[in-house]
Amino acid sequence: MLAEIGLAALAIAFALAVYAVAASALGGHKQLERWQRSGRNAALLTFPAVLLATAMMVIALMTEQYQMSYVYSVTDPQTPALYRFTALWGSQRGSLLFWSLLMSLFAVSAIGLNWRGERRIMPFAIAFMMSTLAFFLGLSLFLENPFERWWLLPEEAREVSSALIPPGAVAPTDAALRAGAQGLNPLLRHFGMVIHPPMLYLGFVGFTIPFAFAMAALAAGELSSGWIKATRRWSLIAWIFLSMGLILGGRWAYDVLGWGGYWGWDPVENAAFLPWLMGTAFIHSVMIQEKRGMLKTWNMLLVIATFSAVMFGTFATRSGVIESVHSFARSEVGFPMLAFWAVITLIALGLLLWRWGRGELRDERQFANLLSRESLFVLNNVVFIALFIAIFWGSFGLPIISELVFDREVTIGAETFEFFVVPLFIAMYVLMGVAPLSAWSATSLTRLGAALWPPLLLTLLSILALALVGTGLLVAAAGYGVVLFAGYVALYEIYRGAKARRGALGESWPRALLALFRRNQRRYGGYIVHLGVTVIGIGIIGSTVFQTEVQHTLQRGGAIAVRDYSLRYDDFIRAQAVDGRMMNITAVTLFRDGDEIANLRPRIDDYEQMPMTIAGAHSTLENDFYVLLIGGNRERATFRIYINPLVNLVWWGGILLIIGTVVAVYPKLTPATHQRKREEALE
Amino acid sequence: MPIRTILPLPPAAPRHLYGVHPKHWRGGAQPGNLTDLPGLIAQFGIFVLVVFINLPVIVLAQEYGASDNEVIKVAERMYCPVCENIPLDECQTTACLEWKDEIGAQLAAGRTPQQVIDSFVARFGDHVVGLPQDPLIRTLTFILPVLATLLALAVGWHTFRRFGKAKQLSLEQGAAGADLSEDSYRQRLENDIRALR
Repeated sequence: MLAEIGLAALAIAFALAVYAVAASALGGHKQLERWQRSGRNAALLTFPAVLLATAMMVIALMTEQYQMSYVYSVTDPQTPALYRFTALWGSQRGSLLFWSLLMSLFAVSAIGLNWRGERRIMPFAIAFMMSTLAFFLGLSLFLENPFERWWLLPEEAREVSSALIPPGAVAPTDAALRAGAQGLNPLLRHFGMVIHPPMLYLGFVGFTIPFAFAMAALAAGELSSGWIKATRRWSLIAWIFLSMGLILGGRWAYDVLGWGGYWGWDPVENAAFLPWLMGTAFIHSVMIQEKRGMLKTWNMLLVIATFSAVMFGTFATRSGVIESVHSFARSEVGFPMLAFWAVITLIALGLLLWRWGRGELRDERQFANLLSRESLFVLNNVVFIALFIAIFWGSFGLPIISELVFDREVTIGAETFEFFVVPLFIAMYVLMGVAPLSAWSATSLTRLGAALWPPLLLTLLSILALALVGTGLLVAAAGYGVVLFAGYVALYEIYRGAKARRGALGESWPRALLALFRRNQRRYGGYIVHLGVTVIGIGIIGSTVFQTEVQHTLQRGGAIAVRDYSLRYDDFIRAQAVDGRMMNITAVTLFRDGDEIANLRPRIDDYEQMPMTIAGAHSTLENDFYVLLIGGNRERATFRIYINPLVNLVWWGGILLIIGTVVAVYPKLTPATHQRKREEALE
Repeated sequence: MPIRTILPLPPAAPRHLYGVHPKHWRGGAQPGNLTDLPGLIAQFGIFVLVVFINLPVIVLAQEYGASDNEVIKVAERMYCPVCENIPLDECQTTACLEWKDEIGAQLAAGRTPQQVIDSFVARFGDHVVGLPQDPLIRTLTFILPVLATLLALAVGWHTFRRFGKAKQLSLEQGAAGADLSEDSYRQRLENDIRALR
């Protein structure tokens, strides 16, 4: 019954989404109020329908309905309850259903919040949102149906998976299904994977909203900055989820993939990073349109590129076009996704060209000089675009062209990516430092220089201090300097703002800081984000430039010294976990300067011939002592040891970045009128 | 981590022994099983042949040896030839472990890291290294991102210059427009005063 209800709900949601596209487009184009409302209501109803379908799937997963082939493929009787729930996004069919749920949730929220305020463009926005939803629901319904069940065809002596009952088919016995159930992909049995996919999906789906509003503005001819004001929070919300998804993905890789790092420039990692780059360029660039009425065409292009990158990334990871550890989900959806991506991108570009050709996207102001803040933001956009092109080319462009044209498979490795991205990231940090100190419209070199010298002085002192404490590598010290410069500027800006309030209003430091953030959440939230990116940068430099890597075989009782640590191999045990995997566990003791500081258990988990290397790690803010078991037995074992300095700053920086974005996106707390007037007078 | 049993089980077999996990040994010649004597003789024959062919490498390996760290330094520049996009030094499959053993043997035989890598590229293709070896594809790898960045900068620079010119033009037009409107305003004022008289 669960499968029948789920299938019916899915079909109803698909029909509603298709109807909403048609009714909203017609109502918007012909200005027919009834059709507009009808389209809106159909769009609102998609959410309960998809929710019902998803609820049926979750119940089926939790109650072990193995007749449903999706439940059979991602769980087994040993699967713990938490992973039984997260198996919803553990494979292609479930994750497509989950994607549709999130898409309908975002669409319903956007309609609820913007229907009145953006009345003129909403029918078109609904049409674009619902067309994306209808596409994903269609994939679920016709190609990757999560409600298919196993059936036995006695006459043909074979079993089939089908959503509808084939003629003459009988259901297999529950016992046989339970015995054969496959369980969740071992790589996904990690807490990071519980949260990482929903965060990424929320980020991906979230960027559909600004895209839909932008397209609606083009379709309706409402080309003021209204659509940007209506969607700036949606853009930031999508960006925060995508950032969280990337950070959690890095943490998962660090914990589970067992290679001592967190970012390998794998094509699937890059597929999620590309929309982030475009989205970051967009959320900076829209500020210029809001403040100065400039870059209207460019912002449209950026929002199209962001959505296009989302769709391309989804296509690349789900179609198996580029194989990698993440591409667990090969299926028939490749071509439809490619077609949808191409069609929606062409429609968007066509609309943009049409309005641009009519001269409706002219900027209200022009650039004053090269040092103005808007000019520096444009340079920032150039850096993000260059990063996007380099990473896209290395991950997808070159491998695909090489295979198609030269019939040669190629792999672009981390060192090749680093050749391109390191200089661009340096440029990004420099701009992150200079741009906030530059004024809108025009800034003279003298004025910019006067604002720059305190953070520059701090930066130089920091480089000197690093050189004195023996950082060693000049390049690394310079790298720290560039990254710290961006952070010092953010701190200096916060300090200057709070100091001005103290001087004018006599507020205490905490009160001045609180008022400062409350007065301009977006700006000062942005500075916290910049601080987060600074902390991440320090962590990345420390953990890559100064990483120590050693592999050594130890006899039981033997020890190896690595820098000021030593590791002793104590014991080896084999054990079996409740989910059936065999574990080869080593017990090792870690010493620092002769003192015992930790007992670690690096191990290899064996899931039916699929080995997973689970690190033992001793973490401090200073570094991670990260040890992997490579192989061995009771008498001797081989370990690979990494010392990753400052690696934990990558995660702490990520948390800071998220806090900053939450501050920026949090609904404004309006102060009392007199207070506001006083502050306005102050400004 | 829930654990059902912790047993002092016998030590695990080396992961690459016989190529498969011991639990998958079925029938045929297993260690200690003498029922398939011809099979064992054949395996011994193959072993002797492999040892004979690799004797120079083995002798040199014993003489010079190649440390795990030297092997890692080479393996981290390569990718698993069969499981795409996984660096060889991280890959733990049986095939990868054997390839790493082979890297060690080649290094011990006196080959340079680049020669070892070249031998793998010759056998498996460009995708075992992180940078294409074919000169044309290698050039393409580097040239497009650099050209795209330069193009983006050129477009940006052109845009600034165009805006600069447009601004100058609009200022001149603006100034002219101000004069005209002022004249018209003055004219209207004079007309009004004349009417009042």
